[in-house]
Amino acid sequence: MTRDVAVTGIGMITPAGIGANATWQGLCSGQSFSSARDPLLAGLPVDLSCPVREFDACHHVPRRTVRRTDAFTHFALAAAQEAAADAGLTPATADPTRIGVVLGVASDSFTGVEKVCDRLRSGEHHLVSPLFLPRILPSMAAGEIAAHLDYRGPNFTVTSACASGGHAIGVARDLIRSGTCDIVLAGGAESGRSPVTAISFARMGALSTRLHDPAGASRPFDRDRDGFVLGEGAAVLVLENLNHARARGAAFHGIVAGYGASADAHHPVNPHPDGGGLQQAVRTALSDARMTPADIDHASAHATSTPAGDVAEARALNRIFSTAPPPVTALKGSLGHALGAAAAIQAASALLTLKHQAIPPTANLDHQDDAIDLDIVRKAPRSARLRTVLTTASGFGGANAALILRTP
Amino acid sequence: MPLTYDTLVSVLAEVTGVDEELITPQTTLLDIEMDSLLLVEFAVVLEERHGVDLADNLDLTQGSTIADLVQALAEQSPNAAAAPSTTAAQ
Repeated sequence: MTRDVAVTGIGMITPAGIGANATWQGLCSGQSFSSARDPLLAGLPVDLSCPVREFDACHHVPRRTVRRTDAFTHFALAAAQEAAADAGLTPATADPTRIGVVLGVASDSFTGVEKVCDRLRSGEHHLVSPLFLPRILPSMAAGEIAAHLDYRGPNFTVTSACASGGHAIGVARDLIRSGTCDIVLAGGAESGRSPVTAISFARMGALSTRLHDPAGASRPFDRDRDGFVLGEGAAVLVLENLNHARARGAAFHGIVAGYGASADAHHPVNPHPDGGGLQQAVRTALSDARMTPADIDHASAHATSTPAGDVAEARALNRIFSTAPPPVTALKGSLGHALGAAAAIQAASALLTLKHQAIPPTANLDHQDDAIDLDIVRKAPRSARLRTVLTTASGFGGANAALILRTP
Repeated sequence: MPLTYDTLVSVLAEVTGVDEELITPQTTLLDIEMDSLLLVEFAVVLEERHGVDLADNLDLTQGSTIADLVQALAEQSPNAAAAPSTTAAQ
């Protein structure tokens, strides 16, 4: 049995654009999509966000579904439909019981939680919407994809905070490698634009407070970075058994060649200072791909723009690539941090990077931190001969995920 | 806002995502895929916006029509003034 798993479809909804192509163009523009005064965060000390723009859920999802579901589910459904169409999936493509859906979602969406709390306090229990719970649960996005596209195989949601999307793709890959599924739609979906999420991260000191310069707030690896900007979106990949994909003549975007997962076993929310767990995840992914560090042509970093996190990740990359780390980019400069969706967006972008043979720049990298010794792509896309991309992700709880994507 | 037949249809359309023009007195709950969850959601919206207090669950089945729903609402709601009438229906 082949160990490699093909990627035959990509779908993306991000602040940079609606669809994978629009997202790619947005990333290559080098601009940041963050802005201030998000109406959803009105009145909070930090109201910066990176919203998905010009997205009308009713253009992608039946109105009936739109009304009872949340933004993260809308993004997931739209991205899944794009990915399925891109892969040429039809009801005849595969046995629907062998098509799975595995998404990474970091948390409940919290939409409407204030209202439920008000009703509880006032004793008006009969006025709590019965749709509240099915609206906010992380597992709903994967379930709605199954219901709308009739995929009846394994269906579950992986949660490891900001690494969720990476673990979802890794676990989905394993479902195919083990022979459990022929096809799995894998990725992540989230919206961080909730007052509960925003105030909670703000109280931890995790968010940028660069209110005077919203477009410059998310600046990974820059010496003036001061935290991340909440983002949102979804990315879904169609992962497919190599032989199954070949037999139906599907076009390949690339191969999931390696996956590694690890725990820092260190602290609830602080990264290990040397990115110890992250190094371990990358080494596991390299071993899984039967590659050495020298085989990696480019790294797409987790780099959220927090002072401690970016340094720890840079140290980890320096340790792994002891001679010369490959060129690095950090997409969160453009996109902000889409939490559970972020690692899936990185993986999808990495496949587009392989397709276009160009590395999108790290937005807002004006003065690289002296403590960060990496070759980081900035200002404009960099053309390069690329056969492999490493993507990394770390989350609260100390979980790390590394993926290695390669050209077909 | 008083609860007229048209308002009721508008709330039904909102909750189910079905076009208002497709909802007639003869339409069944099954036709507009009004399941038990949506029926409760419908009751929440009616009370929040129109003060229609539905103390008990509406005694309806999937085969019940919109006319049945209107009738059940009129019987259940103590807020008689707000109770809808079918006379507005074409």
